[in-house]
Amino acid sequence: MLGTEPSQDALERCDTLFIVGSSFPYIEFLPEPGTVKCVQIEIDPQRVSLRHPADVALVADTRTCLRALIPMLTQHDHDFLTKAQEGKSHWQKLMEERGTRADKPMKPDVVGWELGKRIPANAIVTSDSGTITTWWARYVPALRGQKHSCSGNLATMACGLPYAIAAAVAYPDRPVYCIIGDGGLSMLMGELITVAAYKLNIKIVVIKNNTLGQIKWEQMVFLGNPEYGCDLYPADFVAIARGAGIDAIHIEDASRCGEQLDSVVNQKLPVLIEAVVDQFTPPLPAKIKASQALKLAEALLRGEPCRTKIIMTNLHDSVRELV
Amino acid sequence: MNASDLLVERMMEWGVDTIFGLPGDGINGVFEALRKQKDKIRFIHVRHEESAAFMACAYAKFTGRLGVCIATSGPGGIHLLNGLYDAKLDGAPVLAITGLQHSDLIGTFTQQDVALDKLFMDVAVYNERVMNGAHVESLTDLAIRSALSKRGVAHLTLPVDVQVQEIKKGRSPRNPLHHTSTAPAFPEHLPAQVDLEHAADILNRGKKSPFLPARGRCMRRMNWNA
Repeated sequence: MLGTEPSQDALERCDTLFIVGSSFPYIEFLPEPGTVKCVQIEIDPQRVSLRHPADVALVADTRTCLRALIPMLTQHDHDFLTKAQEGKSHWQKLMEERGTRADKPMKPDVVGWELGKRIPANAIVTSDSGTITTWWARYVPALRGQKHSCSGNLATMACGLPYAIAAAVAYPDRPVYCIIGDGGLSMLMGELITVAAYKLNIKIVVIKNNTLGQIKWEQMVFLGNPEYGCDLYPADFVAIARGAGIDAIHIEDASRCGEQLDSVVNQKLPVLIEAVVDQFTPPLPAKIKASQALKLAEALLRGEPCRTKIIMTNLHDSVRELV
Repeated sequence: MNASDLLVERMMEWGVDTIFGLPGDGINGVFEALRKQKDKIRFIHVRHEESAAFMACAYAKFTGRLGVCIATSGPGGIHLLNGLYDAKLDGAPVLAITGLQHSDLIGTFTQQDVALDKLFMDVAVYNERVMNGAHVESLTDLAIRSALSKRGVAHLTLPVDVQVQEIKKGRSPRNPLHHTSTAPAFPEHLPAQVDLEHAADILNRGKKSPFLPARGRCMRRMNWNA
């Protein structure tokens, strides 16, 4: 779900895989072992061929190794690259389409899209774990010069805000954007006080859908069960932030989202932006497997409490995209 | 000079200028040393120690330098754990400092008697209890070196009496002061030429090669002359 269709396509159609210092754990998205040639740069010999069998392992620091390797590479014909870039540009149009919808309740894609247009090139961006990671990954471009991070292998909730605080402490002259969900924020919410106490230049964007989204969709799509235990009490994060001494705004109208963000993005003081979004919009993977669609159908049949809303929202959205 | 003063001084020698955490009576000895050096080492006071560990991890990820967090004995140390696992799993170099009960009360079911050194065995690449004032220098250097070279979490825990113990106390002849150093050790070796050529050959023959990059776990040298 974190990937895009063109990146998935590239992995499915390639004949050579070059892994550069990555231990990307989602092996199911890598090519089948034995179907491609693979070169891996990896500083820890223990991690060579961890995810895919490497034909050659270059045990070294990536920067040092690439400096030595790149002069030895010859120019390729650009067919594969061009196709991937075309795919990416088509994907971007889809993201723009989803990001500019005027639906009520507002789509999470809209917040992501509007933020992506505004985050400056010297910003540091942090995110949390859950459906929020998908919105951050798809909509917020990683510009050269920026830094982006989230909890990778542990994929823990609650990291986004403390990560942002560390960034603001380490780089007091750079703007920091913290793009998190209401679930992740509530866990270490006390750190809002830390942000206020040190007057850190952090824009805390809370995408609020009153639900533990990733978990809910996993219960339905992976297990075929109706959701259970995923509701979040709708706390007023604007009031909470203001109580901690942080300025805060509330966004729920897609047509005003951009203009409301404009009113706060240039402030050098902390601001919390509570963006209320539709909880029935799932973060669809770039390519949906038949088994996943089946499980979702099963969950709906077995009495998922919000089944009508889910069906109507997704039917509406799918028809729109097909058209 | 006591153990805490030397611990803080050694960290500064390694280029540490920021530490995230929360005080407590199990770690107040070290806090006094931090207070005395507050113009040189900045203490960021958090609301929950798990945040301090996340902050140390993120600090390391963003700057390429060692992240440091500090917590008191018992519950304080326990709270660090989830954030430290984040550092472990993403290969971020972090030093965690915690406190323990007075050494002659350990193992007697006394208040906040949590064996943090046992608790941190899985998360840490280096995990030791400082036994006396004379022990702190070599352990601090080893802990920091371990975190940096193995890209993981190093943990030092100090009983409250040890935190304020003179560094001359309990010194053995095999442990002279300053027998360790902060000399940087970041290898920049290259793979064998034949492997580089083989890799280039494979990449050059490929018609359709995407590459899967990551930030890697690249490290920048600490600023020794800070």
